[in-house]
Amino acid sequence: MPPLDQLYYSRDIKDAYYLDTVLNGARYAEARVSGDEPQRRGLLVKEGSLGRIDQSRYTIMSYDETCACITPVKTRNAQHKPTQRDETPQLLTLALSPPYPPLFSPLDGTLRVTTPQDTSVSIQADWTGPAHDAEYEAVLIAPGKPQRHKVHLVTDPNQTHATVTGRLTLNLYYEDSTRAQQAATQSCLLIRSALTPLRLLRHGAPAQCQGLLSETP
Amino acid sequence: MLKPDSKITTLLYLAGILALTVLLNISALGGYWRFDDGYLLDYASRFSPWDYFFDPAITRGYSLNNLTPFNPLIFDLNLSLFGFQPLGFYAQHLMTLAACGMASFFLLRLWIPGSLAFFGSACFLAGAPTLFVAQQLMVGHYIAGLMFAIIATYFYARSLLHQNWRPALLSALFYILASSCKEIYFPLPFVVVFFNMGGWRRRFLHALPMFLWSFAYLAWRTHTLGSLVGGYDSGPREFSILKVLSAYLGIPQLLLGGPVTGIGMMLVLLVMTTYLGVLRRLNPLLLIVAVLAVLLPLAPLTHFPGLSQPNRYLLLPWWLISIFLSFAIGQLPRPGTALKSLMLSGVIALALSQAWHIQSQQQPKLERFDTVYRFFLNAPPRSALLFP
Repeated sequence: MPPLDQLYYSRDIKDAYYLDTVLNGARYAEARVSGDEPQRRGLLVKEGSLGRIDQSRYTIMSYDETCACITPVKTRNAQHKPTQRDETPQLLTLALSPPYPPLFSPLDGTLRVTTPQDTSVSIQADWTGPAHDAEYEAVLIAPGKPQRHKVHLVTDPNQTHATVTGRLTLNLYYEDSTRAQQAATQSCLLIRSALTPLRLLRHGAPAQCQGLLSETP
Repeated sequence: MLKPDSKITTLLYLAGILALTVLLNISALGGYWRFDDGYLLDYASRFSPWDYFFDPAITRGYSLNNLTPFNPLIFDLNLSLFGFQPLGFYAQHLMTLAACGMASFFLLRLWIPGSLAFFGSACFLAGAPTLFVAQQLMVGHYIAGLMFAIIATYFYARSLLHQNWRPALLSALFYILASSCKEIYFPLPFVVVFFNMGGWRRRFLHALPMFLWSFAYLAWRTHTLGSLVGGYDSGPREFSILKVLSAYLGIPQLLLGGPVTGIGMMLVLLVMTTYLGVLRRLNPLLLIVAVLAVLLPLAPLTHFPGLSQPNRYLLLPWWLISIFLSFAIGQLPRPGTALKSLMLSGVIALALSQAWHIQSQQQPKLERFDTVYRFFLNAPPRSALLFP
């Protein structure tokens, strides 16, 4: 298989989810057609994330317009420190009801949903991921979109320092209690990052979320 | 009825349309995966053709707001035929575009001489939206849908001309295919029923199979997507009729270049339409309904993502303009066919000039997609010798 130690950094696109879907989608498709194991290439879209990546393991590559080619990102950029905004996970909400398309792999972790108030829902997700990761993004699939939301993420290094435990808290605020109740019982949560694909948090998720899981690698 | 061209002449016209399509878009054959192609490839390599149409979860898994099962099907069929080689995909893409030109030729040929029908078809092929979509595999469903819609229109017109219901059944079959490519082709029967060929009763009866599918389509759409209308989910936006009209007024400029050329051409069309209306050589009701059917679905797009490029959104408007222009010139009592062909050649030159200008603007973006996809797939760099 081709080397995966090169991450792609796109400095002028904001939508990492789109980029991941199309570029790694092509990798998955090629692997399926050729009968290989699909493997994902990591990607970044924020300059502030470059400093978080373990550069002893990965080379960060970017598109260079002057030569219309892919070249390594200069070191001075890679030293850039992440800002608070860079660290805050993005949330993408998709208003969708079952039946769901079977498109995703499972992410081992747990999901806990509570309703602190009639019109609000709190979702807490824990999982284990690679250390030195960046650009976490959550995709919430629920029947309706919340009026507003708050996202908070903490990553704690594990004993070996090769992995971290991610703890994401998502507070969702709805117009009325009916919508909040629907969200509490029907929400599915997927997580992706620079180094990991979009995967479904399986444990603790409502039963219908299992419909999002794909049997195809 | 016009005197038909000989088989040889018709074949020459068709060969000309094919050659023109390939010549104008030869660079597409050197293209790699671009834009959303990766997602479409991923989707097409997971599911089977049946799923895109008959499994609602998979139909809307591809697009939450649009009923377009034909697009993953195109990728699926191409993957089966050509494997993971984009050249085969682009060849199929261009052949479908050429088929749009050929179908337009046959449609126009019902009313105007073959030479003018050829120039009308060439005008469509030389337009900025046509060259734009030729470089984008992900919009293959717009092209395939247009091809099916033109064929459906042709068979419907033939069914009226020959007072025979069998071609009307074929028109319904192609309408089914067109509407499953893209919603913009849904209004077709509501337009063609205004063809001034035979009485209302016959026109309605021959369009009935298409109308029946229209209702079935709405039920299918509601069942699959949960709504009757689609479009982009861009969050709450205030709808402004002024913004819509302003965007519509900008369309001629996007299609033909500067404001003088674009608006000038529209004025010429308006004068010609009025003149033909006075001569009773035009069906004004059909024209109005066709323009509304093409422009109204664009209204939401004027707000998001906006009509700022002659891209896929303007493919159908450009087709309508090309076809109407050649039809209108063909209906003029004078000059002769040779001069009329020259007039159409002038329009083709204008359209082509704008198309090449837009294409040169797009080129860096296309090269970027090619390069980044190659990097992700560890494909060798583009061969500059084969397709410069």
